Amino acid sequence: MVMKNIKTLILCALTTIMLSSCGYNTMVEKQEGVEAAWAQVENVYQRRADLIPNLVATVKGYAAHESETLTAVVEARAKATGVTIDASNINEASLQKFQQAQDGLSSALSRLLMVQENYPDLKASEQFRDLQVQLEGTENRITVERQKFNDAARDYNTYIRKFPNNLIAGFFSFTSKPYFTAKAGAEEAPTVQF
Amino acid sequence: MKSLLVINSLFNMKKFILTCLFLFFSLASTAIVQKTSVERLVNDFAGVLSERQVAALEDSLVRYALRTSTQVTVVTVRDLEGYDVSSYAYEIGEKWGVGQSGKNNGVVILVKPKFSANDRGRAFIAPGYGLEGALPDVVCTHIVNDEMIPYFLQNNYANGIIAGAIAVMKACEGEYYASSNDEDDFFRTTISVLLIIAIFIVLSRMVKGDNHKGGGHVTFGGLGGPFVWGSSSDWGSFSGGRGSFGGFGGGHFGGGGGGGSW
Repeated sequence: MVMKNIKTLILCALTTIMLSSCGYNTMVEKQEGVEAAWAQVENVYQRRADLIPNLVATVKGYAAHESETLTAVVEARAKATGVTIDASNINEASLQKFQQAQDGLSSALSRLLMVQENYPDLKASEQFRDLQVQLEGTENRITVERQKFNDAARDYNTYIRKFPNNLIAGFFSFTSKPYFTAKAGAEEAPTVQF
Repeated sequence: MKSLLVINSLFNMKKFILTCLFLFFSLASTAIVQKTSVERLVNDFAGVLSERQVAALEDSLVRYALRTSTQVTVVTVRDLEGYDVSSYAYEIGEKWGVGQSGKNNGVVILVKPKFSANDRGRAFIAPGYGLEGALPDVVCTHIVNDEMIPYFLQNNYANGIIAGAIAVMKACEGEYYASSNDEDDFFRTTISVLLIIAIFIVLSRMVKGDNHKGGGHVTFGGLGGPFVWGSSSDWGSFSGGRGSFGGFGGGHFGGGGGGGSW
């Protein structure tokens, strides 16, 4: 009885050691890292989406004629917030769709910010300037979190492709994670002049 | 088979040398300023402060860091090396690890002075994740534009930087004490201190008792107890050689903050 218990214990210990030395635990950790990084990415994009109603209302107060640009922003925002990804099965296609929707919002926003040149009162209003600062800070955060996501994904992808980790990864179906890609022009943050 | 191939290629001399060269250049070409070997909170790489000003500012920032555990670091640079001022401040914060890990309570005040008439001076305040509530982007922008730049315009870098640092410290105050984490720390420290005192009392009694009996050695192995109480990182931050404020603790930054130019 005691012998049997000891045997089971040793078997358990061996399995643990084997799995951890073959990188299973590290894979899980790195995968968690990617998912946490993704949560941060969604956070900062949500932060941007949350700023928009205020921004639209402020611009409307000074530049009601720009209804077309304003509607475009509201629509792009609705589209962007409609696309969400489940962090645990993020793939190339879903990330591309997400990025497209967010890029659409970026360009609609930069058109809205250009409007200020024609409305000196809007440009001078403190509320608008504060919103611009927040928006700019949010764009910086988006850049940072996307970079951190890419770093985490690269770290994970490199790890699961190494030998002998690739065997374990295949067996437990750890699949590679996609990256954010910088699109020429489309991904540029709306420039804010002081 | 595959591992054999890997070993083979590793010993392939040409590849080996190339890898070494690559590593060397990738290390040599890191663009962001490196922290000094003894970590400091005031890093005047641009040389706009006098020795006395650096010492005074360092002293007050260290006191603040020891009191609140919030690390406010001031960095001046001659050149942003092609970076945006906000990314440069972020990179310093993240790479140096300003603030405590887990609390992410670091702030980077970055100043790139204006060196000639057609040069542009830039300043930026970047808070770590944990201070984004105390230092929202709008507040950072206001501090830079209203507290710092007026002095910078008169070429008075010392006063501008000091005014900025004071404003940042004031803004961070309150937020930090409100966090429950601190109460936890306080509780833990108190318990540790009490335990140490208790053990000393017990030990001294033992020594006395032994003296009366006139024999036996006192083993001090029991002293190990209280030092294991805090996690090693807690005690590690008090270890020497990492700057008088305990060294940068590995805080993380999220790219927030605000700044201005003149």
